Amino acid sequence: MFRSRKGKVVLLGTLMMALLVTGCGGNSGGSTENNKSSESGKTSSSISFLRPSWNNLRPASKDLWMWQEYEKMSGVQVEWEELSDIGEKKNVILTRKQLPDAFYQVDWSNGELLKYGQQGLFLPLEDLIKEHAPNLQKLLDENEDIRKGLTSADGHIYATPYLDPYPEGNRTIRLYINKKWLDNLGMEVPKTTAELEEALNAFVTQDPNGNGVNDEQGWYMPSGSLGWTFEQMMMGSFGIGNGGRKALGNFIYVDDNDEIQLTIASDGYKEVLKYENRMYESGAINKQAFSGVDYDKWTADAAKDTVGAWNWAAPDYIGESVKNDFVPINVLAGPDGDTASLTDSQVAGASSLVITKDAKDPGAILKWVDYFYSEEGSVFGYLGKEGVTYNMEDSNMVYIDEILNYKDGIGLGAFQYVDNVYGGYFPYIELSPEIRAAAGRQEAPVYTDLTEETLPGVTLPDLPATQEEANESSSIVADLGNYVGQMRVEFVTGTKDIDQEWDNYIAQLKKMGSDKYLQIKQEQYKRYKES
Amino acid sequence: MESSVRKKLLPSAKGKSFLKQRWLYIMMLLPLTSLIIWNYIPMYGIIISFKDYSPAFGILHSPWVGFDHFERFFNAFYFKDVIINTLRISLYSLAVGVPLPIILALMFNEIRNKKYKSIVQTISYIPNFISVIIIVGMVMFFTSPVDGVINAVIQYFGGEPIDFIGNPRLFPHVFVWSGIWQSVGWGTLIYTAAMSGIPQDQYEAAYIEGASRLKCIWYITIPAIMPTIVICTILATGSVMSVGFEKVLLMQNDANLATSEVLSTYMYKAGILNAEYSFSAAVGFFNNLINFIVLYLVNKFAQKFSETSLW
Repeated sequence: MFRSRKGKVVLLGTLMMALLVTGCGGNSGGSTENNKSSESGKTSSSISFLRPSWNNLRPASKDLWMWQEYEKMSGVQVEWEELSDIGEKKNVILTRKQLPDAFYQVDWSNGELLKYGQQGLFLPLEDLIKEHAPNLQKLLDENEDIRKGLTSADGHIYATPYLDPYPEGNRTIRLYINKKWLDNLGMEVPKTTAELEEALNAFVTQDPNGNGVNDEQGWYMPSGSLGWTFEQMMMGSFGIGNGGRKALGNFIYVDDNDEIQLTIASDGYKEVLKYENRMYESGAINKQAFSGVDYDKWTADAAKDTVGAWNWAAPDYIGESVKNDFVPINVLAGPDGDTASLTDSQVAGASSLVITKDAKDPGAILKWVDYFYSEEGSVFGYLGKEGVTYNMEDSNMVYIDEILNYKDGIGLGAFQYVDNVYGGYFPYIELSPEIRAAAGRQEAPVYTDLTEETLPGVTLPDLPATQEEANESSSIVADLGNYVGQMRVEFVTGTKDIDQEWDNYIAQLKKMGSDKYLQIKQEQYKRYKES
Repeated sequence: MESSVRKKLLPSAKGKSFLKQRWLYIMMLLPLTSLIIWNYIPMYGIIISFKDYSPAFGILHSPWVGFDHFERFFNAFYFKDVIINTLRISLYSLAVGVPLPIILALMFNEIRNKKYKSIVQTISYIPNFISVIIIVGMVMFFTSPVDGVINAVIQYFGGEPIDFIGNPRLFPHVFVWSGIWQSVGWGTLIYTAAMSGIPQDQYEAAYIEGASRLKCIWYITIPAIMPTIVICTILATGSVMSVGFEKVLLMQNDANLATSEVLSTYMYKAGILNAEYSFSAAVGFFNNLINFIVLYLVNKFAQKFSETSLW
């Protein structure tokens, strides 16, 4: 009796061990089996994509009208895997045993593309494009900037782009100013930085919304936006804005001698900071510019008619109820008359579709995506199909009523049917602002201040970096970004005096390796021009 | 006394005692296995801090780089700041967070009305169950310089509104005290439990001898819970370099970065966002090494000066 019980327990113990061990083994066996079955289940007409999830806003990709329709049109079945917060997860995903066939709409830096391309995770596409993607190949042949912007430092192309040929569209970040308030105060729309300062100061002191309470804000956006919106736009006005949005985001601009310089170490930047500091002290820039306001609070405040000015590519961002109060300003002339709009390169996204080593038929994927680089494909991505999601009205393509009358606005309405509504870095070529506006039975805004002259002389893509350069500059850039972010707060809020501390600030930048970084960027620019 | 009994049993009874306690050993197998599988086997991953890890090659096949990542960290511009910030916040948390629950527990212990006592205790530890993101939301909401409650009070009494969350000098205070508010009640539980084990006759004897309440606390309660205090303190110091990551990250902004960038957020930004896994593994390794050394030293100290210690 006793013996048998003991035997049982020992048996139980070993069984548990065995279970644990086989549990692990069994698991991995199961998963490989799974992979195999899905592999064998995948004929050449089935591909797997990984993409960011928008499922909080609209149906999942597999249920979206556009993708169901395109499956019928192309005969290719796409298995969509959708993930939120993909920016944090994308690198971890690369450790999977079986990668998705392609990353769709996932943003990889050109350093990452090159690194993973050379390590064999991502496929070089230039030959495949030649063979399978005639529309994209045509764009590459005809437009040098597109080819240069896509080609890595090793000469390969690892991704297909999101292209936007129109600076009047989402490529340009503009200043939106409250026209209603300007009218109430009898002021003109500002044309210079000085006039803007005057207008915003009037906003916060003269009760332009007329409610008798001093609740008006001048320039006001969610905390943390200032540095990459308003400040970068002002760089154009203070003579350090040539090179476009991507260049400014990398702390560089192109000077009059066609040389790369650092924005953050320039005298122009010192003036930008002083300008912001003056406006912050007077209240013309919101006191919570650096902490405490998120998007929800901001739009809630905006709905109460308390926002004077803000930056974005389109007015919808501030909310439907007040968006029509604002008029756009593309450029403001600085103290020396400089103007340059905050416009991105036409290669707005350089990694919209990346094909991985585990793709069974890369050619088929390129064939699949190439449609969206044709005019027909663009229309399909934004408007859908005639008679289904849009109708012709006086030679204009206009969304169906279900979209036009959608409860949360036309954009979200269209998003329930088609994917490429928000300029969100899809592998695709953008339609003109006129067509896009007409789709919502509206007229595209006409920008008299966005001309050849006010656009930046060059709009750079992310300059192709070699592996070595990327390694070296990535830690410098991280430190610089951190430090400039901190100092911006101290300079703008006035806890540090700009004139007194400037030399110190420059010395610190140099300590972090700003000279080395500048040298790397200058070399990259030289290579870029010669390529 | 117990140890002398054990000594008598040894060594002849060694095999016998093992047989006698075999059920316990077998029961231990399961947690032990889980510990080995989940806590010890994954530790081999630490080798990536000496490698240039890339997902293309995997942990074992990435190239070795020696101490490169450690050197880069020690030479990083922010190394000193990050270490100082981490220590500032964690030492501050320790200095406040260790004694306060003890004091509160002593106060609870003196409450004679049972019903009132349990109500107060429950209220005190309820914040512990609120998720950290809500806590941070509440902090932001209360401390907002434009429409926050605290600043409304300050302004009512004629003061200037204070930007608590955007001021690097105030950040450690806001961080630590909001943490205390959340966790102090929960922290009292272990001491309350220890106090409930003190025999009442000691207090009765002291009362008859004419000891005041304060004397009772000082000479009976505190010595009785001393071992608990020592163990809790040692465990708390063992995580001196680990500051609650989510909370710091949620409360962080450009304005307070000068004091709010700590090791864990630095690691997150380098490791996850910039995908430099090896580098952040090196930083994490360094972090844990310091934690372990501190734990070891504090334990040695406790061994020397009191009868209680971890091992």
